[in-house]
Amino acid sequence: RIYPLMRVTLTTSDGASVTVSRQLTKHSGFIEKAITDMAVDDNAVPLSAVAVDVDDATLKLVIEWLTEHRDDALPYPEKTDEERRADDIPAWDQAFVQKWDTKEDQQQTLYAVITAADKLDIKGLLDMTCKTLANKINGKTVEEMREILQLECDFTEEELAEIRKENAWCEN
Amino acid sequence: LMDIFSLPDVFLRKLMKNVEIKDRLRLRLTCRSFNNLVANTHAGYFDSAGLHIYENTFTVCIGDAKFKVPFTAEAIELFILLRSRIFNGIALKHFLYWLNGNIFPLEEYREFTNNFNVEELSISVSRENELVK
Repeated sequence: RIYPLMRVTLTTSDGASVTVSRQLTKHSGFIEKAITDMAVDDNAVPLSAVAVDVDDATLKLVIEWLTEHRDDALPYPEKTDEERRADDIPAWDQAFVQKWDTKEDQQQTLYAVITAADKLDIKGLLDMTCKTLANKINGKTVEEMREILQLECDFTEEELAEIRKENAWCEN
Repeated sequence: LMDIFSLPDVFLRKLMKNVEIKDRLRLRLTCRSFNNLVANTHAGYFDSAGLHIYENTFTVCIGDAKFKVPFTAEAIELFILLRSRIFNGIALKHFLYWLNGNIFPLEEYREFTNNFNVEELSISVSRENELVK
């Protein structure tokens, strides 16, 4: 049972405090467990703040996403193997991620949100960021993949030639 | 700075289930860490895949990828090795094994599909005597 008017204070890894509605935090398995562990009764509010291992800037983005998704169904539907499509990201979420694209450190922001979604156990956000990254990779050349994922090639020419030879069995 | 390999393992495994087979092949070439990640992750779910042996060619189709390999024991062995380098498991709704005069020995078929999770297997024959085989 969730009390939507209940507010929860979260303390971030860099010392900030944010107070949010339980309507948002109910989507976070980590925060819900922390509140449950406090043994809050029907009429009480948590006396202690919940410490989250996420910095203030990233938590603000997570809260922005949670605010948009506050009415999403719970429990989050477990994805079956059949649901491998990555082209069904809601328009609001696409715009949310596009907004980061204007930042110089877009990839770092995305990685920070992914890590936060995992730590806070927010399945919907983890799914959305996963699809976003998959869409960035899909159909790209090796060079483009290296650029998108900020990877350095650490193969020797001989090793690359060997992998290309194996891959050549796949028709273009 | 964070790099992609500092992301949670659960995320990387989920990501690798969302990329196509051809993307897995290209990701192998990006760096050693991705080469290992490709080999050690599940490819996810595909609607269909098929195996076809015609004359001297062994053809395997999975998702967007079509592999053509000479139908020789040595080439098949190398291809089985390649399969283990591009995923450690795959889920298929439908797998079609199309016989066309050539028979893939059962033991090799088992070895080839040992990390496949197949919901429906169809075997298509082109001649009546292949039914017996």
